[in-house]
Amino acid sequence: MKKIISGLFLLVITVLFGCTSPTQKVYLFIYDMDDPYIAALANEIVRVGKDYYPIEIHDAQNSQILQNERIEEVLKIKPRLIIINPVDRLGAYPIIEKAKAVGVPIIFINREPLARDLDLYDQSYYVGALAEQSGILQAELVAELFGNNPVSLNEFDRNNDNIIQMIIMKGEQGHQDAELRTEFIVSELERRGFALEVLTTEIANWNTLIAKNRAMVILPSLQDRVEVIVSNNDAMAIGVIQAMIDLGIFTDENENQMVDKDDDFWIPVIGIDGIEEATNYMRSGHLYATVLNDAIGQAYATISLARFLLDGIALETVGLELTNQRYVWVDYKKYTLTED
Amino acid sequence: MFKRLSISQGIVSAMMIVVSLSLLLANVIHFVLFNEATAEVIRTSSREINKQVIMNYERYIDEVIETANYLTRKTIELTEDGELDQLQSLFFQATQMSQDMVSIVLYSSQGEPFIIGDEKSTTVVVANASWFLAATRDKEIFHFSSPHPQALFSGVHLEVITVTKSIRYYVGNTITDGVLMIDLTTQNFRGLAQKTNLGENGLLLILDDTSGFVYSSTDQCIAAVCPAKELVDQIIFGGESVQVDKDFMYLNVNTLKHTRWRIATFININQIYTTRKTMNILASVIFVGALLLSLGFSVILSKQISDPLNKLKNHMAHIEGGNMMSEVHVVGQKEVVLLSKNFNHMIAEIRQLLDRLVQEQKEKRKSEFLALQTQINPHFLYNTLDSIVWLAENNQNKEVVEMVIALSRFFRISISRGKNVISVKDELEHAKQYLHIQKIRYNKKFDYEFIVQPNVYQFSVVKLILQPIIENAIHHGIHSEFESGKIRISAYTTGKKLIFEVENNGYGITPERIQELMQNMRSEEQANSVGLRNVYQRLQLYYGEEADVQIISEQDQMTNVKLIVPCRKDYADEKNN
Repeated sequence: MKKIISGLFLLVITVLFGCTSPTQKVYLFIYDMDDPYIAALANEIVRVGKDYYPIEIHDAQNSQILQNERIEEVLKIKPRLIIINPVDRLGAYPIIEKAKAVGVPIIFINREPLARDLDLYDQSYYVGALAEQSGILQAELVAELFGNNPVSLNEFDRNNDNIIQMIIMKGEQGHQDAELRTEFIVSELERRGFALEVLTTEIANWNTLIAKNRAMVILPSLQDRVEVIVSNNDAMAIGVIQAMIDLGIFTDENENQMVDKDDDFWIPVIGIDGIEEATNYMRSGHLYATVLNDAIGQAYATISLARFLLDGIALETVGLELTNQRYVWVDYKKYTLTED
Repeated sequence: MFKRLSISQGIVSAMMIVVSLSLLLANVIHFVLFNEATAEVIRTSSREINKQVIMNYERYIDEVIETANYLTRKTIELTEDGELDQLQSLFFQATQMSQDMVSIVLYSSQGEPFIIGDEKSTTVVVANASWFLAATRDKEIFHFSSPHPQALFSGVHLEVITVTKSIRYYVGNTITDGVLMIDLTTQNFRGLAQKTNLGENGLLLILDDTSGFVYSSTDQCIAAVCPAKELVDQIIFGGESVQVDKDFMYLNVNTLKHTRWRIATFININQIYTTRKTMNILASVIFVGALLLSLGFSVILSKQISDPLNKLKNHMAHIEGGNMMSEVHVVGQKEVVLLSKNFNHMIAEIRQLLDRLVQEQKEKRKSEFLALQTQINPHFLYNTLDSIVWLAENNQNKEVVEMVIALSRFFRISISRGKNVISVKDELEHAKQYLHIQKIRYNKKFDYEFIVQPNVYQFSVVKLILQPIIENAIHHGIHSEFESGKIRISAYTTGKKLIFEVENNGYGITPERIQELMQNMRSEEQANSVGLRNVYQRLQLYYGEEADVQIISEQDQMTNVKLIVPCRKDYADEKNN
């Protein structure tokens, strides 16, 4: 009788209060899984990391409030490590302070918090690419397109004025990558001696649809003058391409749904990221080139850093290095189909 | 379980265990679930409020940033084209179109005003202003200052938030860095906070990245010591229930996009706490109440069951004590009523049986008694009549007459009109007549005497008890060798006992023989010593244990037979008829 009663009591207690066990998981917070590049990066991290740690993805759906909520919950169980792709990089400092208070190491990826915020905590790290590098590589692609000779541009200088007429599709205003990519595409071309005319800089918040809408507005008046369109990322480049298809700027003489570079009229578009969709547009000839923001490389670097932090596996053994004790930089690569 | 308890204890304890366990379980579950549910409600609702506040501010900030981005773009375009007047009027229009933007100025990297949107703004150099320095330090982000008095307008005191951003513009053909500054009145900014319902004493704090105050809904919190702010610094961001002064609050801290500000909302949850407390108290009261109620009911129920049984039990004890006459009347459960009825039936049956048994015993005793009485007579009559014949033959007429008179008296008392109990006087008379007859018969070979206490005459006694003893005394006590035997009859009282003694001076009997006599006297079987046994049996039948016969003898000296009976006066006793 007593056993039954105490057994029942135990059962009730277990059901009511459950039990929690220390977690071996690594938590990955993503700003928005609707962003194709970020989704690819997140999936790569899980794929590369699953041999070492179970990884749980939390999608913030572009809401810092939601992301804060999730991070708060996860920090309560004191995980071994959290990896954060912040919604608002300026809002990273409370997350860093809280992780510091709990004593959980933190790796930021893709969106770089302010250096003074990272400096708040010796266990905070950043894995990413240097945005200016992507701008420089994009400038190289533009230079190559126009024949690499600033004194005399090739046939892509449609009006033969030896000035490159350019439209820039810019990501989120104030976003470090957007600012730096935009700045370095211009400064690098100028450094190489090219004369440049930026017809317009359109802010499209990294988003295909916004970019398409902006392009639909500006292209009718600029399509005759523009010689190259550079975009801070592939998603916006694709938006511009879709607008140009809709506006009939791209011609398709043999109706094969492809841009045949010798026969059809086309305006070169250059993106950054190298997402899968971008590759498709490159195959169809709509996208001239992109700069590969190496998702696989970044995922690999992130997991290597995690293994260094959790298991002491030195980064040098996998050919990476820690800069200023908290940065792991992953190189961008120029990406065109002809170079494959 | 419960085996050692009474019925009522068993019922009460079983019921109490079941009731208290189930109630306890229900209460614990209720307590846990209810508290969890309310905690969840508090968490989500306060989070929603905080989210709403953040979203309101985000919308506000987004508008400002959108305008600033537009102005940034236009600044590059228009300065490149040298359309400075157009840019100035654009700045001016922006301040006119927006309620919040009171002043827009583009400064050079040295802090000198380059374009001033509103002519009211003064042309101060701002190179040392913190907001200007911030913009030149982190070029790619917007900087939002804390509210401060507007320094640019001459004369008017206005509180503003200064938004700055490093931008580029053309001076002639060269591009250069500058700082775009937008002053926002705090009127709408404060309005957003004030229209949020945070409950009584609810707080809204906005802190910058150095944990300095941007806004506080209470003036007290601008002071250096502010417990609410300390709580915010503790949790950094997230949600937690806290106590501010005496109020229970739910604190939410979240970052506000673009600004590096944190918004902390303290939502009063006293009411939910009080409700929860009341509910818990109520649940406890119900728990205790239900426990008491069930205790009461189980006591009543168990009493209803056990009371009739107890009554029956007591009645049984009563009957065990000997009282068979009373009946028990039990009111209660059907089973018990039936039981008591059957019990009454049973007792009635037993009573009848007992009555019959008593009657039968009485009848039996009576017949035995009569049989014993009649054993005495014929034996003696033959002998006496023989003696009379013998006396008549010897012409001893006088003795014949004496003898016949004695005999007639003897028999009159013997018969006593059928009574079994006669006065002591008659009994002694009877003995006297007997001795008289025997003395003549035995040719005066013995003497006899009577020693009688006068007070014995008031009592009565079973008749014909002395004669058989005297007969024995004559038979065994008198011998022809001795000239004269002596027989002494005494009657006296000791306490409540009436004692008759018959003593002779014969040569006595051995203790072994006395032992044998006593055993023989008490046994049911018919044996030699008819007389003694007969007397003893009749005394036992009539007086029961109160009567006794004792024999004392001294070798060659005497033999004394003592009859002990209770003192009674029932002459006309008819019981043994």
